[in-house]
Amino acid sequence: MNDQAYQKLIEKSWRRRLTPEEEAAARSYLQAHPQAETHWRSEQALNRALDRLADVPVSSNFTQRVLQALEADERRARAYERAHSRWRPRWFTKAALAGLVVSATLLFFQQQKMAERAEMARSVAAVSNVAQLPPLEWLEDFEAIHRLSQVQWVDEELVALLVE
Amino acid sequence: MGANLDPDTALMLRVKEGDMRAFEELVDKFKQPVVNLIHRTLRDLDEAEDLAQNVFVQVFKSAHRYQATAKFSTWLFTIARNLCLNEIRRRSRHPTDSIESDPCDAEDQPIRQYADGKNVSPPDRLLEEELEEKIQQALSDLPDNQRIAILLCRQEELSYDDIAKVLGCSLSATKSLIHRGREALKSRLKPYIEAGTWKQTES
Repeated sequence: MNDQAYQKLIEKSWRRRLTPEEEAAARSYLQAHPQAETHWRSEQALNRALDRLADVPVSSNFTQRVLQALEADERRARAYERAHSRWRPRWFTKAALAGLVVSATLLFFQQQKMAERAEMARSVAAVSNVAQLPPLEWLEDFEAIHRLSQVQWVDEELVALLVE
Repeated sequence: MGANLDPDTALMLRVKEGDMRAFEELVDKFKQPVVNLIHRTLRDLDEAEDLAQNVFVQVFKSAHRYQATAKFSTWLFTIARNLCLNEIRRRSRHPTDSIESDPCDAEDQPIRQYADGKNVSPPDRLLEEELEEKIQQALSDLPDNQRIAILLCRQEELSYDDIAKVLGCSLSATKSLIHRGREALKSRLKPYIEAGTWKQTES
């Protein structure tokens, strides 16, 4: 047996008792390598020490307690679900209300914007009407024409005299 | 598929389908190693039982995530190890609190019932208890990962590969953890090992 195989045996002994064949193999290795004897003994002593650790007492109704813990857990989950479902409509109402307020605000601003645009369109139309005014030379006799428009009545006698 | 499954995996697959009988069988089979591991990691019997209970509740609740490719004991001890480490972290943050934070939970539970202890004569029992206490103390002084590695190593159903999976590290790192832990134990228990106390009292 080589060192590697011996190390494997040591690792096996960490986990379980060695079989008689494995023990015999270890013994023959130790006869050939007496310097490993102390290490082997300390390993085996530690294994025995760990083997001494007795099982911790477990309550005889442990399984029953686990099942009851599961039931309690399910009850708690159901209670939470119920509370959650009662809370849900209120949450929905609040969310719907908030949605309505946001929509109304958006609609209001939209209308406002449209009204502003309509107003702007009207202003542009008015400016374009000014652009269609008569040419400047027509306005030279503006004063006379303006006054003519202020004449309230026509003196027909004077007109006849002037015609004659 | 079922023919090649190990019995624990087959039971767990039944649990996955909601079979409570299968779950009870698994709890009965693994309660002792799980309580042993937790108790030797935390050193508190009451809390060890409570935490072991949580481990099995967790197993049931996570059953839908269980894949038959994983060995059941590896999966179970991974959950147990994680809960132990959580508890160690929680204790370091809140040293005086117990696991059972909700007193209503404790009231819902039946009282623990223990069978009679081993039939050993009082002086032998005293000596055994003293030696066990020394070993337990030496184990407790180890870093968490080394302690858990050594304790898992004593679970016959777990191979080194399984232990590596539970610890979430490589095979060589796992063996190194065990080796270092054992060397520390040997040095702490040297007077007892050298005096051959365990050899003498073993018979």
